[in-house]
Amino acid sequence: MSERVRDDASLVETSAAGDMSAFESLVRQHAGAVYAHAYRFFGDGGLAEDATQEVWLKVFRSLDGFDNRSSFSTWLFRVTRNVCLDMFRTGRRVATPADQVLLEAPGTSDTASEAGCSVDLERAMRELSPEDREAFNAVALFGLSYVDAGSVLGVPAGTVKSRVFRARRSLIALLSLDAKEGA
Amino acid sequence: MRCIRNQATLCASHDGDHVPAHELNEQGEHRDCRECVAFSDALDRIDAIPAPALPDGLLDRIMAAVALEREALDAAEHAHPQTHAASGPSTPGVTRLVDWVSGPRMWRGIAAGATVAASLVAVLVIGSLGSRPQTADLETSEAETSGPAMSLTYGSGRSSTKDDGAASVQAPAKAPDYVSFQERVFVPGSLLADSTAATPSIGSIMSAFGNAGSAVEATVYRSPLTDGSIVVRGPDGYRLYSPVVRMLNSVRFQLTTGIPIERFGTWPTLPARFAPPTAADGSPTFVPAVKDSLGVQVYASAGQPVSMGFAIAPRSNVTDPAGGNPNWTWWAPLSQ
Repeated sequence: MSERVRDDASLVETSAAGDMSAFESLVRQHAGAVYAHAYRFFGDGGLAEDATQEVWLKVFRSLDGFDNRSSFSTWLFRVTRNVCLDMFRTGRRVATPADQVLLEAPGTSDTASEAGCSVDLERAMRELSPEDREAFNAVALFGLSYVDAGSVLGVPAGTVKSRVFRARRSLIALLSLDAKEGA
Repeated sequence: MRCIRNQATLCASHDGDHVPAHELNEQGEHRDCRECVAFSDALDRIDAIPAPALPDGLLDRIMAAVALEREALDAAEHAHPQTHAASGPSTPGVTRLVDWVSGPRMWRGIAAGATVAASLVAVLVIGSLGSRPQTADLETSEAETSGPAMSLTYGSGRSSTKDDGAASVQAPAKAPDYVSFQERVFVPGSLLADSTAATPSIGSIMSAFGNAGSAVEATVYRSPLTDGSIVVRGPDGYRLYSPVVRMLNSVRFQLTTGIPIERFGTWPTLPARFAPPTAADGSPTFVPAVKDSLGVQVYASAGQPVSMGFAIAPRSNVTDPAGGNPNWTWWAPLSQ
């Protein structure tokens, strides 16, 4: 992870100097996390795409302002979270999928089992409280530490730890992952 | 070490968080524990499930949008060299504006009355997922925690610098970081950066928050969200507080308290109009009503339908919105 942090810092610096290929590398490495968080926030692929694009435009505009006080991932999570919240406040409602089709996680593997698991996971994610889901995403999608996630969420690291634990326990129960495979 | 605590440690270790040596040592006691081994395996299985992947073409669309942005910046620079204030990557002679991304900015002046739909509340949806998972097994595995409840709810600020909030305490466990306003219970959400919003004050609360001193008066403001939340001006600024809610029959009910909560870590109690039950079945005050799909028993006030409110028995699962409260709790329909 530390190597990745150094790589990110280097890419940000290079991007800020005008190197678009470096910026594209940043996008390729991190866009998945941004999209997944937005998808889980809105429950809608179209809104998630809009949010993802907006996040990266904001990142591009603010590259020079990134001062490495936090990791790039932490900063990116903050931007992603704020973009989603802003879109929500301006009337972009959280979609409530009415049927199975809308729950299909786009772009998943062709294998039926993986796709099915992804759909189940996303359905289960919507059962979590927004706070728990957000904390889980910060750690699982963006790779943030509890301390860094807490700094973005405005809560102590212990709170993040509790929320992540609660989210995982809920997901395990909802997905029956505590049963032995094949049982 | 009880399983719940060990599993919390496993979760923290899984996330690369620092775990005190004595907790790592105690994990050895659970090396052969079926539930803990299953939990550890399940953590890996969750990670193995793919997250929603990027739709085809999105990366290209992002880069195309960024390219347009860059062209616009370059054009502006050439049109007004050294006088144009624009944000973006370094371009000689261009003064930059730093975007707002340095902190959460959730609260704008809403004097114009912008309307925001639906919720950012703390909700545990009590509903069906079709074939419900083995909640019975989950309940059973929690039986050993029916005594001292684990303090694995909201960080109370007491241990985040020590053991990251995973330490257990003797019964009763410490409550989450609650505040109460008009007998309703809320938990802290995000810190709001913008303090200039012209929203009306709707009252005040008395709270020491997480501090050791006496409770002080804190102004409460109307939230920009229509989810029953409030904004409280506390020692660290303006913070959003979300209602503690649970759902029954697709209706949201909020946790209430009989005593004002004037300090984090205080458990809500039954409103004074309810005599504390003298029996585990809620009698004589409450009668068992329905069970939700997670198997949590809901109790109605004698002679009243649950739609008017209901009680939850003490020492719920720590993942329950009641958070393992050692008291009976009353949940009233959420008012927005």
